[in-house]
Amino acid sequence: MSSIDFYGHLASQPCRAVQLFMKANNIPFNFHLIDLTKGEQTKEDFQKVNPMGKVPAIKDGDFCLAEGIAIVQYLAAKYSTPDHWYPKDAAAKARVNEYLNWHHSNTRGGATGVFFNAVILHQIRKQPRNEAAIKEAKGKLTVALDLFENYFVKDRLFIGGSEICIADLFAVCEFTQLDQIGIDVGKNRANVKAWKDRVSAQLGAHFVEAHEVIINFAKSANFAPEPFE
Amino acid sequence: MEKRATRILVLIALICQGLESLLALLQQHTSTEEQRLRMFSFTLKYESISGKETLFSMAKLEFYFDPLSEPCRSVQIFLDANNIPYEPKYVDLLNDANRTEEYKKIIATQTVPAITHGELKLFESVAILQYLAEAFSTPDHWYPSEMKKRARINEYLHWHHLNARCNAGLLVIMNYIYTPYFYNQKVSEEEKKASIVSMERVLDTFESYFLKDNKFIAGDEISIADLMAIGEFIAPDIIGIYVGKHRPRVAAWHDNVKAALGPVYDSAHADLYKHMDDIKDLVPPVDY
Repeated sequence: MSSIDFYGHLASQPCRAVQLFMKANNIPFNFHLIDLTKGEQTKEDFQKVNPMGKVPAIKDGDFCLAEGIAIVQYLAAKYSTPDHWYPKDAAAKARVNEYLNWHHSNTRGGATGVFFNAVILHQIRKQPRNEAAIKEAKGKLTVALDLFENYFVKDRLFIGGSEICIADLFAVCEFTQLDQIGIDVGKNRANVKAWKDRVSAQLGAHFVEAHEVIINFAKSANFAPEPFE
Repeated sequence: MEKRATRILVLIALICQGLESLLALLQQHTSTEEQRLRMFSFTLKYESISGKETLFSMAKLEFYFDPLSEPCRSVQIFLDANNIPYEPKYVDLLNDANRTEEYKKIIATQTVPAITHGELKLFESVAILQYLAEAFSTPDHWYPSEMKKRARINEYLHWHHLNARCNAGLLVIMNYIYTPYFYNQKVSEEEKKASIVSMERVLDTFESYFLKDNKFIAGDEISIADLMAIGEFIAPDIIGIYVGKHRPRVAAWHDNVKAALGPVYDSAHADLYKHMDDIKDLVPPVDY
């Protein structure tokens, strides 16, 4: 089978999730770096792949697709990956879809909300700290983490059940972004901590590799730690 | 004799007092009673639409919803359009009926829409639609099994959450209706205008990337993507912001969706338009 053309930047949470899925399943791909800091998402070549100018995006022959979760759902079908990633059984799949749809406004809304305001806008673009926005995002993050602790990974090894699934990839990559600013989501939440450690252990070397870029970026840009309980 | 008469008189007086108190109680709880009547009328309405039992899915399906909630309407339309039988469970959001310990035991997020189906408890409208399409083997066009067609729909469904849902219709109706008039918090003219600008940006992408010149989002046939989208984009219509007014492609798409759904569309929106009557005197219509 020919390779997937994968457009992204590994500082981006959903880009990491897509790469982790492809690596864990030996899906061949060509990585095309779209440097968001240089505005490369507006370049004509990339606009042909994704007119919305967002990463991640893929090109499979003539077929172009955006939205990280939709990409991974497509790849799971195309490459017939092991069932636990995205189960065929309707009820088992519903467990995974329930998280994947809740993810956007909750996990991502909270975690990216904090990161975007505290780091991108304030530390990188040097805008004054928008305390109201940061507070609101932290509130969302707290609610999301509480639900994670008390529902999504309570009495389950992974979000979908006893084995890792695509939902775990998208969730963990939002939380690893927060690691770069000293926010440990598992600090006061035992189920979250155990789950996060389990996911990184399961993904092994792929996990380490996928996070090199954001870790180096955080070090060189000297991200300030952000308080959070 | 006198003692007995006195006792009877006292008894009558007590009964009258009791009746008065009962009347006062009833008057206090009118809104609760109204809710119960509304729920009852919904039950009648939904029983008549969804009376058919399927052979394949004997487990009971319960549908937790509020017809004023956009994603609830999306799921209701799907259930009714496919004649899937269900037991309706009305959850009155404006009166915080979801914020009970009882509901939390069923659905951890205390959100609607939600379903229970046998052992399964499920929230998130998109996940519910995806599940129902598969569990009830609905016609393929709703959520095609071909992977590229399905991918196109999934792409819309995931873009939807932080765009059509958060930054379009809901943002507008929160700023224009619910925050100022139901939650009694001030919303500046600037914030209101900003929500319209945000909605326009979302609609620009919706038209140019997702809808293009198609009849429906996925192409020639209606799918669950259209059901999710229609819920959000039609919501601001209750204050005169009709998204198809300056966008002929969106207006055409809306007409296509209505034609494809027929009476199911109208019944799902009946309470929304009744709500529009209720708020007419409260919220001035917007010049759009």
